[in-house]
Amino acid sequence: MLATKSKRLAFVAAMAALFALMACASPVSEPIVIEVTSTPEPMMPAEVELVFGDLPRDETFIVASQAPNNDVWDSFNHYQAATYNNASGYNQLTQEMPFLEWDGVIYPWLAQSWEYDGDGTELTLTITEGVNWNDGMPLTIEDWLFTLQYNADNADKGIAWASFLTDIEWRAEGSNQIVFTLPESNFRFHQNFIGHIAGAWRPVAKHVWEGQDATTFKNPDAIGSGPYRLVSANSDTRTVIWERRDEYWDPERLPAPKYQVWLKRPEADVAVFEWEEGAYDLGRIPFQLMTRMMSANAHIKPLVHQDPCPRGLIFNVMNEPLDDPLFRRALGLLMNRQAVANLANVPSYVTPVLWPNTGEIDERFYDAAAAEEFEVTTFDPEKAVQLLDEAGYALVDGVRLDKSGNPISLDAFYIDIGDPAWTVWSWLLAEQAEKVGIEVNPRLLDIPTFFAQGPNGEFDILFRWFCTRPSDPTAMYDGLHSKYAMPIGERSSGIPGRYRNPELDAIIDQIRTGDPASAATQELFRQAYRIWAEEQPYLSLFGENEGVAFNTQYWTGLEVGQPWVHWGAHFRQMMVWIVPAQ
Amino acid sequence: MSTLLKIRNLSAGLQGRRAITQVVSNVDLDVEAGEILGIVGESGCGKSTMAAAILRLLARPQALQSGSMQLTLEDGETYDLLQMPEKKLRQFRWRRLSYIPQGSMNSLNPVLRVRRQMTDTLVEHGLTKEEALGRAGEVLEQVNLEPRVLDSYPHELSGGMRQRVIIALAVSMRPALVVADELTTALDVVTQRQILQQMAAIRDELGTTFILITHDMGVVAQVADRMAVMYAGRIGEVGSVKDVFASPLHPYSQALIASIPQQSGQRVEGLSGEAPSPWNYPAGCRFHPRCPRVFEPCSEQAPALRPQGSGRWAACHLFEPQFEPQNVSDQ
Amino acid sequence: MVAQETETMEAAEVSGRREAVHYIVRRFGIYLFTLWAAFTVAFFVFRMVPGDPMTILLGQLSRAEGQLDPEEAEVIIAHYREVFGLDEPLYKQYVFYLGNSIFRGLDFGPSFVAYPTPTRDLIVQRLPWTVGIFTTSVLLAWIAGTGLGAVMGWLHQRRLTGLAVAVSTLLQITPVYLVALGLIIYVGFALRWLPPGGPYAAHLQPTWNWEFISSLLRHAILPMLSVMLTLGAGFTLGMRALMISVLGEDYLTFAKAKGVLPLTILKDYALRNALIPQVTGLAIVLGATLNGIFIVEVLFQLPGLGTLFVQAMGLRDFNTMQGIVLFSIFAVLTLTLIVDLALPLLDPRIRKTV
Ligand SMILES: Nc1ncnc2c1ncn2[C@@H]1O[C@H](COP(=O)(O)OP(=O)(O)OP(=O)(O)O)[C@@H](O)[C@H]1O
Ligand code: SF4
Ligand SMILES: [Mg+2]
Repeated sequence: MLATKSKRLAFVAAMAALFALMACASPVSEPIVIEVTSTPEPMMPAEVELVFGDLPRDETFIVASQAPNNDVWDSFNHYQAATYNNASGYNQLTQEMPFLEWDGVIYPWLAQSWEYDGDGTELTLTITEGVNWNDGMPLTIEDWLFTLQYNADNADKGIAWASFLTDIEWRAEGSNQIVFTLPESNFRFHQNFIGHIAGAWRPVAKHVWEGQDATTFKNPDAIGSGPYRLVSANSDTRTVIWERRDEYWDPERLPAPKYQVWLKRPEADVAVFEWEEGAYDLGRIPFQLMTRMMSANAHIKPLVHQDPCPRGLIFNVMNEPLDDPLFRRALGLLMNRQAVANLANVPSYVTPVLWPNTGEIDERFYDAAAAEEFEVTTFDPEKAVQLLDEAGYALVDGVRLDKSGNPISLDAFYIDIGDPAWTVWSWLLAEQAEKVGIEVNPRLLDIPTFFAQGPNGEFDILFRWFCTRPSDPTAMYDGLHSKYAMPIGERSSGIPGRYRNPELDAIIDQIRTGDPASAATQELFRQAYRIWAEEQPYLSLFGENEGVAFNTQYWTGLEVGQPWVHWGAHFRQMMVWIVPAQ
Repeated sequence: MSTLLKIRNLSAGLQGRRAITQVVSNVDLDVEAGEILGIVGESGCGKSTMAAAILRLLARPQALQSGSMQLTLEDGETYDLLQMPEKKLRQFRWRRLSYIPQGSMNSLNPVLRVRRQMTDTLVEHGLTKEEALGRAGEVLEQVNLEPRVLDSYPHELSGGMRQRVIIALAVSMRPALVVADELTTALDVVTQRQILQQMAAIRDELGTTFILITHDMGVVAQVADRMAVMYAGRIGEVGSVKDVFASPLHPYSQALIASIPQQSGQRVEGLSGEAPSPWNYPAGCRFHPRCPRVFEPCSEQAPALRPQGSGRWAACHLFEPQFEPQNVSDQ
Repeated sequence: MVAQETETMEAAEVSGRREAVHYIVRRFGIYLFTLWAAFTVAFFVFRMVPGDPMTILLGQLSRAEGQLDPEEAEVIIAHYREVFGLDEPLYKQYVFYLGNSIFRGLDFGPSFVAYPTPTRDLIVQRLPWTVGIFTTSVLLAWIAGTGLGAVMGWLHQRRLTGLAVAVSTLLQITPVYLVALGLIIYVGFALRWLPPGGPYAAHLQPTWNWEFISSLLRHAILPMLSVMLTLGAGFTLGMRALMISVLGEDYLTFAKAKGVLPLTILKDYALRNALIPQVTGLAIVLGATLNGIFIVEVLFQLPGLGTLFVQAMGLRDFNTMQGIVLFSIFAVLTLTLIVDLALPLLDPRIRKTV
């Protein structure tokens, strides 16, 4: 507990340092005048181009949304893979999950509670009553039953949240309960209904979707149960306007902004000027530009939060000498994680685990002794040399040889998204490795290639992020299961290092069926952690802090340090906290 | 015979960045009405520059330096071409004096039909459209071309036909004087003869005066009445073709005539060295480095063009009374 | 002699007509062949770029939907692979795409960028933007550049034209994206005279009312200006050089001697002749200009083909990339063809000699 407390402190200290830095960076060095305290005069917004018709600016929340390359603006169908682009606001404003997980806490939303029977083969889900769709129709258990069947029927159509229903039976009990019968014990079935950093199963309106093709229907009116309804969507200007509906079924959690406008702004170089003019309220922008924006517009604040996906390095154990756990540990000792974390856009932190965490590591899944014993976060080149020597990697003429007598040379792949930490690790590692006679070649991949080459196992060392459920690291360990160890060149959907370990497989199999709340399962988690720490098939690099820009001229209520991501299901919860600035 | 054009002290040159390089120097020349006056000289001696100067068509970097040109028409009216304002000149040209430029094979606009190129000129000079068309057909006939040539583009015509179109154009306004620069140079001997005959026929019919510029002595011998010999921007000798051919006065004329059997366009046989270019005209008599008869005053003083009796003129110290060279008896 | 020449003229006219037909047929054949070659090259080149659209899809899915069940991911990928025809061997895909493109009206299959919208619809929807900006700015740049160049050539001995030449040269060598960025920053943001990006004001919907049209026009000025400035400068310099060389031609001196009005000389003699290579020059720059337009679209956030192409490239959306490339080549080739076929109208010599 002490360790985690100090990490919290470090986080706060890092934030303080960051703000100090930003204050220095701003060129305003006014003399201190005591008599007149003048608030800094904000620049007036660009009145002409970013006023959305008659929408009053102080009742409108404008999101400069980030999106990948997709350009879907006329389709509101979350079954389509391409609609998951989060650029329109659809997934955030009208798609509600049965539960939301926020900072480790699970909030009831469209459903109130779940309950397993003793052996985990039956789950009773109690849904929220009195919910309505944003076209005014009631959302009833009929819609739930329809959606479950619809998803199951379309499982082969390439839609998410469908295959988990295979071999599952369900029935309604009364008007507010659904009982699921599971083929084998599964204490995680309810997780499919919890929106965390990303989506979950969600009901769709029967009167809209019935008879529609799951992958081509466009749901043109964006019907959902959220607090907003669609006003207009324009693919030319990439602008979607949403209006709050005041008959929303949960008045307690009705967001303050009457309107929301979601725009896609592809070129940050241009968007920065619009930001300075107060054109947006919230959005992601490269950090270098954010510093500049803040000095131009005093209302803009960085909202720093912990990215829920820790960064790590995957070793390809098919390639000698990465098949040797001792060698992998030696590489880990050569990795100066703190230096990497400090170089991130926002100073970040070192973490001994690779599942999403909020800075405090859940002790139930974590074996601190193992972390210490196997030095999972230590930077110690001398110890690395000692390990290499002991394991039999001879140093001949300054070059370290593998067990077959060949010089060791490894390719380390990184991608560049404008964050120095994502690239610099490979150079730091190469520098340290060179000192002990190992050649590490940093290699840049463009993002599409990265997504192809990684799963195919075509690498020695690969940078990755690990996005799984914060409250339950099962899925992360599952990625290490031998069933994902495909031959090189074939796509692996697990962690693509081709790791095999029957002992870990057995533990994973048990964890998967165990109840994460039971002491026995938690003990298994700690065992799995110990195996990971000793074997290090991949290693933890750092946990990243990120910043988004928040314009406090019209809206406030969001605070630094909130584990906040605006593109995920979290946005739904976050909006509840937004309040007008005056 | 009256004098049509009186050229006095005409000098023209090339405008450089700092100074003018003189190309044509102090030309005095009389053109008689109704005659064909041949002007001969080696390539680069300034014939075309002089022609353009007469028409006042010098284009930069060419520039007029000094001189006067008096044109006296049949009705007795006299104009000084060099004093005429540009606007008046544009009207005056073609009506009173016209021009067949060197390289006239390329003098037709490749993208306009012959008709347009003839009528735009005629209309510009005061004819109506119909008159212009009628006149165009008329003058084409004069040079033995069918009226359908009017509908052709220049590239559809042979070189000889194009040349004839140009001649037709040049005489279409019945001008008093036509300056024809290298009229026949690019043509074969047969076509050359035909064209020269047509020119002579036009002169006979309309009384048009021609200045025929060429470096081909043969052409001059064929049609010209009088001739002027030019060397390095100066007139060396003027006289009737018969006289000059029979007894050339100027040593350069002598050399030219001696070389007649040679193909046209070749360097004058029997003379050493090359004709000077305007940038290195020699002092004194410009011919003196090559002159077989050179003597003391030649390199110091330029000889003036002086009458030598019976309508002949020469510019050579051999004929200056104050110099009595020993070898004059050779003549 | 005369009769003989007349005969050859008649013969030349007949054979000239035959040659003209020949020219058009051959020119059209080349056009079709180039189109096919472009399609083929585009097809194979894009597929050689590393990165499989499906793995990119998976990467996006795992970002948006978090922990996707690996089996579920496999099903999703299998489904889309089938939809996009990526399972077939390459040659079969090729034949299939070629067949669809020709016989099913340029059907390039579904787009991946905006699934389930078909690629063709997507391109048709974006086309007016690119075509609008492209044709208007190229035409305006050409007209303005040709006019200005002609004047500068005509008056090339005047002092002032030296300054104009210097400015044009500077503009011509500046990359179009720098001009665009400069306009965005200074005119758009610093001076705020014109909107710095977007196709029209974000709150408007396309309708034929004055508010929308004026917004559209105001937004079009800067992107078009960036293209026109660089392109127009090139046309100006080209035309000026052509004009100067034409002014030295014999037929110009002759025209002057003929006493034709200076305006007629400029119009019928100088311009008419200088225009011929200037029109050919237009055909040559068309292809390169399209690239510039694509960059400008991205910078000004115009929903044209360029923006679409950048998106498609990021997703390895073969169908869309292919469609755009094919369309662009089609457009450029067609325009070049039009220019080439129009050239004989301007230049009587080509009617026969080509
Ligand atoms: N526009 C010009 N620019 C530069 N030099 C010129 C120009 N016009 C004439 N010259 C020079 O002036 C001299 C005389 O030229 P001009 O054309 O008058 O000679 P020419 O006697 O007509 O020769 P040719 O028999 O070859 O036509 C030559 O040396 C020529 O190089
Ligand atoms: S002046 Fe002298 S150099 Fe000149 S031509 Fe006469 S003799 Fe020869
Ligand atoms: Mg000449």
